[in-house]
Amino acid sequence: MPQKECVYYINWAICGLCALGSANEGFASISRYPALDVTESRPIPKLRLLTILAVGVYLQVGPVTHQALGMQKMPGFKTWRMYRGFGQDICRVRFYEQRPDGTRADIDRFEVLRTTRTEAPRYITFIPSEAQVARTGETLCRKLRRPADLRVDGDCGSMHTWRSMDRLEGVNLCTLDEPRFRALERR
Amino acid sequence: MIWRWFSDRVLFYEGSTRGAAILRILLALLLWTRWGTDVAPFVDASPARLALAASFYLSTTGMLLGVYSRISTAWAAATVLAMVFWFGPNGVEPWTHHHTAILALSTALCALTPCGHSYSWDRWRALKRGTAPVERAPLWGMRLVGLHVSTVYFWTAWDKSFWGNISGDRLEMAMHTLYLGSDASTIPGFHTAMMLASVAVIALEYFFVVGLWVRRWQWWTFPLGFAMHAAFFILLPVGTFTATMFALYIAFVDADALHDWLDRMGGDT
Repeated sequence: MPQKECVYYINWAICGLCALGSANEGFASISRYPALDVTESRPIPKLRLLTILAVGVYLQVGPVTHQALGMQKMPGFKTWRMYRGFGQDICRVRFYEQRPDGTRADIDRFEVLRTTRTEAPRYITFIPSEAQVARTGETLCRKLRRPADLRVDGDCGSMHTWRSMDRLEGVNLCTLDEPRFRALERR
Repeated sequence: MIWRWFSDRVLFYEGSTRGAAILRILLALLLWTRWGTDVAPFVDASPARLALAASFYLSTTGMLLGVYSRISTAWAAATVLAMVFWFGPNGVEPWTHHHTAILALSTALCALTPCGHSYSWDRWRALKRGTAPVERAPLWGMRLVGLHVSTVYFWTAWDKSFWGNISGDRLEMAMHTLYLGSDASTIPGFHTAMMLASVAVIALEYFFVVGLWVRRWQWWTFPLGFAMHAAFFILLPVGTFTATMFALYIAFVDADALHDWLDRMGGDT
């Protein structure tokens, strides 16, 4: 996928720049005291050197193996993938009634359910899945207390982008039966 | 050339120990904030958890007060690393989160610094005996703390470098999950704002990998970093992550300049 490859190469380019940057400007400008030139006069503290290298390698192993090489996560190593999955379980929806003359009338789910945004159960305010959208639609149909053609427009979150609710597209939510609910829940 | 740079600036790097001591104190307080209640006996009084609680409170108290500072810090690090890598995967899932791992690993790295040479019971005791060392010691451990921060920035930015994030969709989902609910946003320019915010965060995180190390840039990289983490703290459920990053920034501060500044603040000339 070109987009993915592009991001991949940009990342490696930045990696290279970082290495150059820290070598040329980074540490060199940190201390105002002159650097101690002790390498010739003092023996190399082997344990210190080993510790620095071991910690440096340890910090990189988790992310390099998992993020860059796509290997399984290893116990004892962190991958620094933070909040990666956060926010996937949300749908943004607009319920509407399809009228016989072809017009649409928006339905305010809070008004029909005689509640408010703050007082409604969380699964009504923050609808987490396509199945819950369908369940909410079913509840709205019951509360409307008349035959209605209730439909929904919208999409749900995913790992990458908003995903359209293709199984509910153009479907009258008042006609959904239990097997279809179950099929949605299994998805 | 690389070896010379490495030995001068990392391996034999020396400076004032006050920064390391401040880091030790801040991390001890952060450990209490994150885990103080979780390990309390009223949460779980099983023998293993009681032993964990005793280890946690004793080691972190020693760390905070600077009683046998490096030993206390190493003990605290061993305790919290066990919580993250043992207790966490074996039933206490929130302890495995990255913001807790950063805290635990930073504590371990702090134990590699001369964090007891300043602002500690150790120093007070040595002063009374007349054997207090100069507040100056090898600071290679602080370089490792800095490397840890750069590593976190680089790999979190790398992880976010995919179209779903750059397009603003993922941040939009987070905003709907936390604030907007399932109603389509009616805020004008909302999607564009989310896209710009996502790109800005990724760009800043990549930049901080190097930018925080450059002393002449710090007058603006530090406020930018603080602002970014403050925004995370206010807008997202990041726990102690923001405060931990604030504390870890001390690893990038010139140790001797910090020492002089603290002297000036204390009225010394």
